[in-house]
Amino acid sequence: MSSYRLHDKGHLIDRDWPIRFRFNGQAVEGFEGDTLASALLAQDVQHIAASFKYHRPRGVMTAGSHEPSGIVTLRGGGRREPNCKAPEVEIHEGLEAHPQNVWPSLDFDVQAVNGLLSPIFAAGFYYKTFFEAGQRGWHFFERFIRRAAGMGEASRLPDPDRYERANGFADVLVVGSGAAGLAAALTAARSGARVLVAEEAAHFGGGLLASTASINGIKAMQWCRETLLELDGLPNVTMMPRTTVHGLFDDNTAAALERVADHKAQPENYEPRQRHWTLHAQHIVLATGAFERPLVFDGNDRPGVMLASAAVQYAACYGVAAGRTPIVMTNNDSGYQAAFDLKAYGVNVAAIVDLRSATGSSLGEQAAAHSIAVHAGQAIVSVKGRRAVRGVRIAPFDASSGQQTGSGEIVAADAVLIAGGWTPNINLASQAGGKPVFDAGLQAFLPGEARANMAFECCGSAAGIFDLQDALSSGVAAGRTAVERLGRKPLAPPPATVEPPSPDIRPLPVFDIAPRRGGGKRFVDFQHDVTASDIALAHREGYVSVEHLKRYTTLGMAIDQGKNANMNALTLMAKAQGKPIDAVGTTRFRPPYVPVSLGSIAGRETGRQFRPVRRSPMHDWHVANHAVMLNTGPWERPRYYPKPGETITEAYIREASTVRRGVGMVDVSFLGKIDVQGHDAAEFLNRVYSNAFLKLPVGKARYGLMLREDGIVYDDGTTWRLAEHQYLMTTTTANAATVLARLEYWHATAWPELKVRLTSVTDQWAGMAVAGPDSRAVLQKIVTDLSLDAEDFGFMAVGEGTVDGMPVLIARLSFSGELAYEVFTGSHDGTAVWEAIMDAGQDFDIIPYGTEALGTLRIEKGHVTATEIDGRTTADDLGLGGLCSKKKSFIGSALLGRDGLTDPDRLQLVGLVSKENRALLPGAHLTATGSTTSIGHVTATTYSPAGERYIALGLLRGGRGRHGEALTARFPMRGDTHEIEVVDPVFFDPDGSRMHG
Amino acid sequence: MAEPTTPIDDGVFERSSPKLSLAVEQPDRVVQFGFWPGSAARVHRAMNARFKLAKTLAPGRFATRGNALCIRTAFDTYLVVNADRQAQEDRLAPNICAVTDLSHARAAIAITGPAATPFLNRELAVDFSPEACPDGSAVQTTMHHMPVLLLRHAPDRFVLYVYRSYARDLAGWLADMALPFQTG
Repeated sequence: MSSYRLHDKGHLIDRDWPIRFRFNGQAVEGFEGDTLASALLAQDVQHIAASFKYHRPRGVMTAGSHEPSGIVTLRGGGRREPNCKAPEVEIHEGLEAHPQNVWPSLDFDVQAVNGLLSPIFAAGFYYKTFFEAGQRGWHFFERFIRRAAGMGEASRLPDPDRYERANGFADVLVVGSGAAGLAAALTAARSGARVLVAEEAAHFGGGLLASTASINGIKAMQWCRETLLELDGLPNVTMMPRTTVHGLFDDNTAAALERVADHKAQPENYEPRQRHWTLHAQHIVLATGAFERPLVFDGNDRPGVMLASAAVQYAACYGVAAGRTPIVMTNNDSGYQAAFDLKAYGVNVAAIVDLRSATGSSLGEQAAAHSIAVHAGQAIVSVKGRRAVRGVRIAPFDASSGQQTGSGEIVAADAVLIAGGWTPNINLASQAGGKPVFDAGLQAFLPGEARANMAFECCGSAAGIFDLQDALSSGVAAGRTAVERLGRKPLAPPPATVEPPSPDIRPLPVFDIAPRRGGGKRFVDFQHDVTASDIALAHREGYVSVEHLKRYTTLGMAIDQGKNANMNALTLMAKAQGKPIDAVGTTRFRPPYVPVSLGSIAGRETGRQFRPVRRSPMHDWHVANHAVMLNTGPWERPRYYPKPGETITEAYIREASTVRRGVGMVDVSFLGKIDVQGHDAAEFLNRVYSNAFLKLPVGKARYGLMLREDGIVYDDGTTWRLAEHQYLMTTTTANAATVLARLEYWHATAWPELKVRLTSVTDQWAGMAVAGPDSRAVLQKIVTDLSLDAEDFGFMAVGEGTVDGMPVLIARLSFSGELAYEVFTGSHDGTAVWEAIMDAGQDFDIIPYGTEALGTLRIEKGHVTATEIDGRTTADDLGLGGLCSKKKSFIGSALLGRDGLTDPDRLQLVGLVSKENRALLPGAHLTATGSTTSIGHVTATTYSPAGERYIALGLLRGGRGRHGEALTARFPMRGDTHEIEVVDPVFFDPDGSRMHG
Repeated sequence: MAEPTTPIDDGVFERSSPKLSLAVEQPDRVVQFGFWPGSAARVHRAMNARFKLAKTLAPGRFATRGNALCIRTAFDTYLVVNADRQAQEDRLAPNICAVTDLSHARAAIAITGPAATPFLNRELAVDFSPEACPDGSAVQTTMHHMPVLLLRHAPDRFVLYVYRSYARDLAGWLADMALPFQTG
């Protein structure tokens, strides 16, 4: 027996409310309010995990989220969550916790053999061992290494829980709720500022929760309660427990994770398990506290070795003693304070081992008064016991050399409590501020200046202020500064008086206890099993940069991100290099401060809500009529409408054939549509299109080609002149938004003097293309107020009519190469007009057709789309050179004549016909027969119902001069070669008589 | 003439609570007035007269007159909702400004209840404090990647305008996000 539950104490637990949970398959009982760590320690369960590399037994070392050793997996099934820190886990009825990184069991972990092989697993093991193994050798070993490595295992099942994102706003965001944080919050809140206090733990109060000091004559805990009561009662204050601010970003934006229901067996109805906050503040106060620093000595990772401050917290908050005969080892006065506090809470501290040879006499006297033996000028040089502390060797120690100087003696002990000084928690400040500043007195880094676009203040121990009274004052000052910057008058609480004075926490700058004869394992990084020997080895091998050291040894990585290790590693590095610590450098911290679940970042963007979908006004009709839908960008479009038993190929061939033979209708609502209005609209269009637009008459449409500034084709579409100063421009679906953005850019920057307005009307219009020889007859049955006779409504005509009383805008255009009309109507009327046309077409056996048949029809006609307008082709490449006016200047015209763009050997649009009567593969390379040198590629393929053969479009070097040539289409990844013939890209109706008819 | 359809599924907002309710509030008519430098004063005068405004609306503000809304969505743009067509529009276009009918291009969803602001803040990075976003504010932002225009009619009543093609997804998204506020 070592750790145990004290008879009283523990103000955070409810001893009348037992909680039953399971750890390692065993039933364990704790109390409401316990953490997993406190409940296990109360039951003397100290060995709860295995380390990462050597699989050494590990227990709880801290009492917070920086825990490096007491790591467990929670829950099961889809809710399984690895790498949870036992001090942070709140127990609840039915909790299932599992030790991780062990196989087959915690008590018999096969991979513990790694410990015996530790000499070969030193820093750089992988680099050195596999450097010459070659790719094949590495890949052989990799599978075993990957299986052995890792920390915990995520569930492969879907997570059934709900996660949310949210935004919060405050004048002042206070991060941390210890003495300084509460003082800052109170100051800002009393001054009328909107205050938000984010506290990582379940309870507010930070270090006050375990303090034995008094503030203004009352116990610190009582002061804390009264302050919280006041803050809770203020309407301008929001208190956020279980909320970890893990990132600080520009303009005082903070990212925070709220563990909404992690402390429950299951979230309640629709309650999220976690919520990810983006907090927007005018000013931020960082009261993030400090970490107690471990010391480096043989066996410092054994279960039962923990930070002295953690032992105090377990005793005060949870009524748990870390041991029956714990020994404190310290290099500063806070170790004494911890021992005295523990005594006050009923923990029988056996001794204090002080690395310093001389301390103030009052500490010695106080220790004597508490019946605590003091071993000054000595050190714990090794820990006895594997799964628990069975004793320690205490030996004389020379602080100047950092060496054990005598053999010493073995002393009975069941816990070792380390007080190696304090490291201000500057993680967030480092993210948002300048270079941290080294403080030789504290042997720690302090926050640097805030960046220009950030407004934050650090206070309390995060700012290196460890005296409680000074910390309270610094909190008030931070709150006052924040309020003043808001332009408000601060109403600060009166200065606080603290008794007794806080201990001097400036340490003797000795953190490494080097054994007299070497041997043993002195851990620097408990997460990744990096030892002092690894750092020494890295130094011998020439790693002088802290960043290189970090990557070579893997120090400072994993879930604690070096919170416990970095300072000791820097100290060892500095010592090895004979330099001061600040000359060695420090790594800058990056977000996130703690691990953040992907679920919380995704929020509700999962499953069908993964991304938003745009739907056509006729979407429901398509679905009701068995369309198979296809996602193209954000749009969901009908791909084809299969009849029972029909394959996609059979369906699209049927649909395309019907259009060629009779009539079909396709939804074209997805096209981008831009309303272009104003006196200068024609001039504007004339500048953005390569072909002429000034003289386009009202009631006519024109195909337009838009180039980039560099002369490459950007987009195409038809533009309809609806009125003297109003045009309706259509764009490709994919480029709708970017075309509008480019038009607005050109208008704003190049031609601001033009009176023209551009408005997206994509959503205003439902569009449907009625195509085929019977299309006119179908529309003539239902369109009123507009004559569609050929002589009245010729090719590219535009006019307004009505269908069943609903206004429609009709343009005689053709993408299919057939007689065709695009019918636009207000989106709310889209389905009604669509259905009216389908009804009118019944006598003509009209069918709906989808994107597959649309593609077939356009390939047959040699019309280009995004696969040919691929960001590399010119108008001439696509056979559209005639659309580039020689009589005017337009976007792209200046660079269109560059040599590289006029080379006759450029890739040019061609038609391709299969000589093997089978489908060509899009993307296949075009090569000369017998060659493997690519001279082009296939862009789009289909079976041509009109030609009854497999055809394709492609881009081929000098293609226009190679019609009739036999080539090979190669697709090496599929091992396919295909004999083809190069032909004109217009396969169908080359003279256009059908669509002009 | 067929009945116009709305893009939002029937029943998507059937769940309701005193804390939060959502409802489709399809606008009858939406018209955008976009003007260019030099014609701003005439457009402002026309809007002020039409909506009986003592002073010109600032960008990001809107005013109501009966069921009609006048929203200054940008320095050079007004959006007028549910107003009868007036000869004024013909007078303004095309000499003074571009008048664009967007009646079919937008859907609208009303969000009402004391939980409206925390609900909206689940997704929107908008400070709804009375100082930052008073009644009469018009905020253009995005929700779940969809561009939206949010009007604050009262402390606990908002109307969200969205492109029609996105409306069904936005409604589903809102209905899902509302569940925690409509339970218990």
